Amino acid sequence: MLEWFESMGHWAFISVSYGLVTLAIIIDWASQRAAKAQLARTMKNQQARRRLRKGN
Amino acid sequence: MQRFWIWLSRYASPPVFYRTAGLWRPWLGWATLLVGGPALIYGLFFAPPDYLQGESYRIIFIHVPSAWVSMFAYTAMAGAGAAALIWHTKLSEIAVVAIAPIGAGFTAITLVTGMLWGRPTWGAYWVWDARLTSELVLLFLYLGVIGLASAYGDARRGARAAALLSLVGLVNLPIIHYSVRWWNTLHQGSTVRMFGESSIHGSMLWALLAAALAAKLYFVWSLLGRLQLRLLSAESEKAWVARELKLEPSDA
Repeated sequence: MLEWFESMGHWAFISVSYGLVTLAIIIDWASQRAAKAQLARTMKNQQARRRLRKGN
Repeated sequence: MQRFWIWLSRYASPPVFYRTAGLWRPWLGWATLLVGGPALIYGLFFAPPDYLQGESYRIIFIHVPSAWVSMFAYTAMAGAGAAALIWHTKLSEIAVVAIAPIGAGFTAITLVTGMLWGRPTWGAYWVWDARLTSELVLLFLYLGVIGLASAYGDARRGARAAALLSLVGLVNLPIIHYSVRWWNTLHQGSTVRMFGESSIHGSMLWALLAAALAAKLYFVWSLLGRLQLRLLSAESEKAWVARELKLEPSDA
Protein backbone atom coordinates (compact mmCIF):
# COMPACT_ATOMS: atom_id res chain seq x y z
CA MET A 1 0.00 0.00 0.00
CA LEU A 2 2.72 2.43 1.07
CA GLU A 3 4.88 1.42 -1.89
CA TRP A 4 1.97 2.02 -4.25
CA PHE A 5 1.38 5.44 -2.67
CA GLU A 6 5.04 6.41 -2.98
CA SER A 7 5.20 5.21 -6.57
CA MET A 8 2.57 7.83 -7.47
CA GLY A 9 5.25 10.51 -7.14
CA HIS A 10 5.35 13.99 -5.61
CA TRP A 11 1.76 14.85 -6.42
CA ALA A 12 0.50 12.01 -4.21
CA PHE A 13 2.24 13.55 -1.19
CA ILE A 14 1.00 17.03 -2.11
CA SER A 15 -2.59 15.85 -2.67
CA VAL A 16 -2.73 14.02 0.66
CA SER A 17 -1.42 17.13 2.45
CA TYR A 18 -4.01 19.46 0.92
CA GLY A 19 -6.75 16.83 1.31
CA LEU A 20 -5.90 16.41 4.98
CA VAL A 21 -6.32 20.13 5.65
CA THR A 22 -9.63 20.23 3.76
CA LEU A 23 -10.87 17.25 5.79
CA ALA A 24 -9.74 18.84 9.08
CA ILE A 25 -11.62 22.07 8.26
CA ILE A 26 -14.80 20.16 7.36
CA ILE A 27 -14.60 18.06 10.55
CA ASP A 28 -14.02 21.18 12.69
CA TRP A 29 -16.94 23.05 11.12
CA ALA A 30 -19.32 20.05 11.26
CA SER A 31 -18.39 19.17 14.85
CA GLN A 32 -19.10 22.73 16.01
CA ARG A 33 -22.51 22.72 14.35
CA ALA A 34 -23.31 19.26 15.76
CA ALA A 35 -22.22 20.28 19.26
CA LYS A 36 -24.45 23.37 19.20
CA ALA A 37 -27.44 21.35 17.97
CA GLN A 38 -26.78 18.72 20.67
CA LEU A 39 -26.60 21.41 23.36
CA ALA A 40 -29.90 22.94 22.21
CA ARG A 41 -31.53 19.47 22.24
CA THR A 42 -30.23 18.71 25.74
CA MET A 43 -31.52 22.01 27.07
CA LYS A 44 -34.91 21.52 25.44
CA ASN A 45 -35.16 18.05 27.05
CA GLN A 46 -34.22 19.50 30.44
CA GLN A 47 -36.89 22.14 29.98
CA ALA A 48 -39.50 19.53 29.07
CA ARG A 49 -38.60 17.44 32.14
CA ARG A 50 -38.91 20.49 34.40
CA ARG A 51 -42.30 21.31 32.93
CA LEU A 52 -43.43 17.71 33.49
CA ARG A 53 -42.29 17.82 37.14
CA LYS A 54 -44.12 21.12 37.65
CA GLY A 55 -47.25 19.62 36.07
CA ASN A 56 -47.13 16.65 38.45
CA MET B 1 -5.59 52.26 32.41
CA GLN B 2 -8.77 52.11 34.46
CA ARG B 3 -10.80 52.56 31.27
CA PHE B 4 -9.00 49.51 29.79
CA TRP B 5 -10.00 47.33 32.76
CA ILE B 6 -13.58 48.52 32.54
CA TRP B 7 -13.59 47.71 28.80
CA LEU B 8 -11.98 44.30 29.46
CA SER B 9 -14.40 43.33 32.23
CA ARG B 10 -17.33 44.33 30.01
CA TYR B 11 -16.17 42.11 27.13
CA ALA B 12 -15.20 39.24 29.46
CA SER B 13 -18.83 39.04 30.56
CA PRO B 14 -20.16 35.79 28.97
CA PRO B 15 -23.31 37.19 27.26
CA VAL B 16 -21.47 40.23 25.86
CA PHE B 17 -18.59 38.07 24.65
CA TYR B 18 -20.98 35.54 23.12
CA ARG B 19 -22.77 38.22 21.10
CA THR B 20 -19.56 40.00 20.07
CA ALA B 21 -18.04 36.69 18.92
CA GLY B 22 -21.21 36.00 16.94
CA LEU B 23 -20.81 39.33 15.14
CA TRP B 24 -17.13 38.71 14.31
CA ARG B 25 -17.34 35.07 13.20
CA PRO B 26 -18.94 35.51 9.73
CA TRP B 27 -16.42 38.25 8.86
CA LEU B 28 -13.53 36.06 10.00
CA GLY B 29 -14.89 33.09 8.03
CA TRP B 30 -15.17 35.08 4.81
CA ALA B 31 -11.76 36.72 5.35
CA THR B 32 -10.21 33.25 5.80
CA LEU B 33 -11.77 32.08 2.54
CA LEU B 34 -10.84 35.21 0.58
CA VAL B 35 -7.23 35.24 1.79
CA GLY B 36 -6.57 31.49 2.09
CA GLY B 37 -8.39 30.30 -1.04
CA PRO B 38 -6.32 32.21 -3.63
CA ALA B 39 -3.09 31.60 -1.67
CA LEU B 40 -3.57 27.83 -1.59
CA ILE B 41 -4.78 27.61 -5.20
CA TYR B 42 -1.77 29.65 -6.34
CA GLY B 43 0.57 27.59 -4.17
CA LEU B 44 -0.85 24.33 -5.43
CA PHE B 45 -1.07 25.07 -9.18
CA PHE B 46 0.64 28.30 -10.20
CA ALA B 47 3.71 28.88 -8.00
CA PRO B 48 6.93 27.96 -9.81
CA PRO B 49 8.56 24.65 -8.81
CA ASP B 50 11.53 24.80 -6.46
CA TYR B 51 14.96 24.56 -8.13
CA LEU B 52 16.03 21.76 -5.78
CA GLN B 53 12.89 20.06 -4.45
CA GLY B 54 10.74 20.32 -7.56
CA GLU B 55 6.99 20.07 -6.90
CA SER B 56 7.02 18.55 -3.41
CA TYR B 57 7.89 21.92 -1.83
CA ARG B 58 4.23 22.95 -2.43
CA ILE B 59 3.48 21.35 0.95
CA ILE B 60 5.17 24.46 2.43
CA PHE B 61 1.93 26.45 1.93
CA ILE B 62 0.23 24.19 4.48
CA HIS B 63 3.09 22.98 6.64
CA VAL B 64 4.63 26.34 7.58
CA PRO B 65 1.36 28.23 8.33
CA SER B 66 0.22 25.25 10.46
CA ALA B 67 3.53 25.20 12.32
CA TRP B 68 3.32 28.96 13.02
CA VAL B 69 -0.25 28.67 14.29
CA SER B 70 0.64 25.64 16.42
CA MET B 71 3.09 27.86 18.34
CA PHE B 72 0.89 30.99 18.22
CA ALA B 73 -2.03 28.99 19.64
CA TYR B 74 0.14 27.67 22.45
CA THR B 75 1.22 31.21 23.35
CA ALA B 76 -2.43 32.30 23.36
CA MET B 77 -3.36 29.29 25.51
CA ALA B 78 -0.59 30.05 28.02
CA GLY B 79 -1.69 33.73 28.07
CA ALA B 80 -5.25 32.65 28.84
CA GLY B 81 -3.81 30.22 31.40
CA ALA B 82 -1.94 33.02 33.17
CA ALA B 83 -5.11 35.14 33.21
CA ALA B 84 -7.08 32.17 34.56
CA LEU B 85 -4.61 31.61 37.40
CA ILE B 86 -4.24 35.31 38.29
CA TRP B 87 -7.78 36.66 37.89
CA HIS B 88 -9.88 33.43 37.98
CA THR B 89 -12.07 34.73 35.16
CA LYS B 90 -14.41 32.14 33.69
CA LEU B 91 -13.73 33.24 30.12
CA SER B 92 -9.96 32.74 30.39
CA GLU B 93 -10.45 29.29 31.97
CA ILE B 94 -12.76 28.36 29.10
CA ALA B 95 -10.25 29.78 26.59
CA VAL B 96 -7.50 27.43 27.83
CA VAL B 97 -9.74 24.41 27.27
CA ALA B 98 -11.07 25.72 23.93
CA ILE B 99 -7.66 26.53 22.42
CA ALA B 100 -6.09 23.13 23.21
CA PRO B 101 -7.93 20.99 20.59
CA ILE B 102 -7.43 23.60 17.85
CA GLY B 103 -3.73 23.84 18.69
CA ALA B 104 -3.47 20.04 18.76
CA GLY B 105 -5.10 19.90 15.32
CA PHE B 106 -2.66 22.41 13.84
CA THR B 107 0.28 20.57 15.45
CA ALA B 108 -0.91 17.21 14.09
CA ILE B 109 -1.26 18.73 10.60
CA THR B 110 2.25 20.19 10.93
CA LEU B 111 3.69 16.81 11.86
CA VAL B 112 1.83 14.82 9.20
CA THR B 113 2.52 17.29 6.37
CA GLY B 114 6.14 17.44 7.56
CA MET B 115 6.34 13.66 7.24
CA LEU B 116 4.75 13.82 3.77
CA TRP B 117 7.28 16.48 2.76
CA GLY B 118 10.18 14.67 4.43
CA ARG B 119 9.78 11.41 2.54
CA PRO B 120 10.39 12.78 -1.01
CA THR B 121 12.94 15.33 0.26
CA TRP B 122 14.99 13.46 2.88
CA GLY B 123 14.03 9.89 2.00
CA ALA B 124 12.43 9.34 5.44
CA TYR B 125 9.05 10.09 6.98
CA TRP B 126 10.51 10.64 10.42
CA VAL B 127 13.86 11.29 12.04
CA TRP B 128 14.45 12.09 15.72
CA ASP B 129 15.63 15.54 14.78
CA ALA B 130 15.45 18.38 17.36
CA ARG B 131 12.80 20.35 15.42
CA LEU B 132 10.57 17.33 14.76
CA THR B 133 10.92 15.99 18.30
CA SER B 134 10.16 19.35 19.96
CA GLU B 135 7.08 19.76 17.73
CA LEU B 136 5.98 16.25 18.79
CA VAL B 137 6.46 17.32 22.43
CA LEU B 138 4.17 20.29 21.64
CA LEU B 139 1.47 17.84 20.50
CA PHE B 140 1.88 15.86 23.75
CA LEU B 141 1.57 19.11 25.73
CA TYR B 142 -1.69 19.96 23.97
CA LEU B 143 -2.99 16.42 24.61
CA GLY B 144 -1.89 16.75 28.24
CA VAL B 145 -3.86 20.00 28.60
CA ILE B 146 -6.96 18.38 27.05
CA GLY B 147 -6.61 15.30 29.29
CA LEU B 148 -5.96 17.29 32.47
CA ALA B 149 -8.89 19.65 31.87
CA SER B 150 -11.29 16.72 31.56
CA ALA B 151 -9.78 14.68 34.41
CA TYR B 152 -11.52 16.67 37.16
CA GLY B 153 -15.16 16.44 38.14
CA ASP B 154 -15.17 20.20 38.66
CA ALA B 155 -14.62 21.82 35.23
CA ARG B 156 -13.16 25.02 36.71
CA ARG B 157 -10.55 23.11 38.76
CA GLY B 158 -9.67 21.09 35.66
CA ALA B 159 -9.25 24.27 33.62
CA ARG B 160 -6.95 25.78 36.26
CA ALA B 161 -4.80 22.62 36.38
CA ALA B 162 -4.62 22.70 32.56
CA ALA B 163 -3.68 26.39 32.74
CA LEU B 164 -0.74 25.53 34.99
CA LEU B 165 0.46 22.82 32.58
CA SER B 166 0.15 25.25 29.66
CA LEU B 167 2.45 27.71 31.49
CA VAL B 168 5.01 25.00 32.27
CA GLY B 169 5.01 23.90 28.62
CA LEU B 170 5.89 27.41 27.43
CA VAL B 171 9.55 26.44 27.80
CA ASN B 172 9.15 24.24 24.70
CA LEU B 173 8.39 27.16 22.35
CA PRO B 174 11.90 28.68 22.22
CA ILE B 175 13.26 25.13 21.89
CA ILE B 176 11.10 24.59 18.78
CA HIS B 177 11.99 27.97 17.31
CA TYR B 178 15.74 27.87 17.92
CA SER B 179 16.23 24.09 17.50
CA VAL B 180 17.45 24.55 13.93
CA ARG B 181 20.10 27.00 15.17
CA TRP B 182 21.12 25.32 18.42
CA TRP B 183 21.55 21.85 16.96
CA ASN B 184 22.68 20.42 13.66
CA THR B 185 19.29 19.34 12.34
CA LEU B 186 18.08 17.66 9.18
CA HIS B 187 15.19 20.13 9.19
CA GLN B 188 16.05 23.24 7.21
CA GLY B 189 16.61 26.60 8.90
CA SER B 190 14.07 29.44 8.91
CA THR B 191 12.82 30.21 5.41
CA VAL B 192 11.10 33.47 6.30
CA ARG B 193 12.87 36.01 8.49
CA MET B 194 11.15 38.92 10.18
CA PHE B 195 14.43 40.87 10.29
CA GLY B 196 16.65 40.28 7.28
CA GLU B 197 16.24 38.76 3.86
CA SER B 198 14.06 35.65 3.50
CA SER B 199 15.52 32.67 1.64
CA ILE B 200 12.36 32.16 -0.45
CA HIS B 201 11.60 33.74 -3.80
CA GLY B 202 9.05 36.58 -3.86
CA SER B 203 6.75 34.61 -6.18
CA MET B 204 6.35 32.02 -3.41
CA LEU B 205 6.65 34.32 -0.40
CA TRP B 206 3.42 36.29 -0.88
CA ALA B 207 1.37 33.10 -1.10
CA LEU B 208 3.08 31.69 1.99
CA LEU B 209 2.39 34.87 3.99
CA ALA B 210 -1.22 34.98 2.77
CA ALA B 211 -1.70 31.31 3.73
CA ALA B 212 -0.19 32.08 7.14
CA LEU B 213 -2.60 34.99 7.63
CA ALA B 214 -5.52 32.77 6.59
CA ALA B 215 -4.42 30.08 9.06
CA LYS B 216 -4.40 32.67 11.87
CA LEU B 217 -7.82 34.00 10.83
CA TYR B 218 -9.14 30.44 10.76
CA PHE B 219 -7.71 29.83 14.24
CA VAL B 220 -9.57 32.87 15.61
CA TRP B 221 -12.77 31.84 13.75
CA SER B 222 -12.64 28.33 15.18
CA LEU B 223 -11.70 29.58 18.65
CA LEU B 224 -14.62 32.02 18.82
CA GLY B 225 -17.01 29.22 17.81
CA ARG B 226 -15.66 26.88 20.48
CA LEU B 227 -15.72 29.64 23.10
CA GLN B 228 -19.35 30.34 22.24
CA LEU B 229 -20.22 26.66 22.64
CA ARG B 230 -18.40 26.30 25.94
CA LEU B 231 -19.96 29.50 27.28
CA LEU B 232 -23.44 28.20 26.42
CA SER B 233 -22.65 24.93 28.15
CA ALA B 234 -21.05 26.52 31.23
CA GLU B 235 -23.88 29.05 31.67
CA SER B 236 -26.74 26.73 30.65
CA GLU B 237 -28.77 27.71 33.73
CA LYS B 238 -28.67 31.43 32.89
CA ALA B 239 -31.53 33.24 31.18
CA TRP B 240 -29.32 34.69 28.42
CA VAL B 241 -28.46 31.15 27.20
CA ALA B 242 -32.15 30.31 26.88
CA ARG B 243 -32.66 33.51 24.90
CA GLU B 244 -29.75 32.71 22.57
CA LEU B 245 -31.00 29.16 21.96
CA LYS B 246 -34.56 30.48 21.56
CA LEU B 247 -35.87 28.54 24.57
CA GLU B 248 -38.33 29.94 27.06
CA PRO B 249 -36.25 31.93 29.59
CA SER B 250 -38.55 31.31 32.54
CA ASP B 251 -37.89 27.56 32.34
CA ALA B 252 -34.13 27.73 31.85
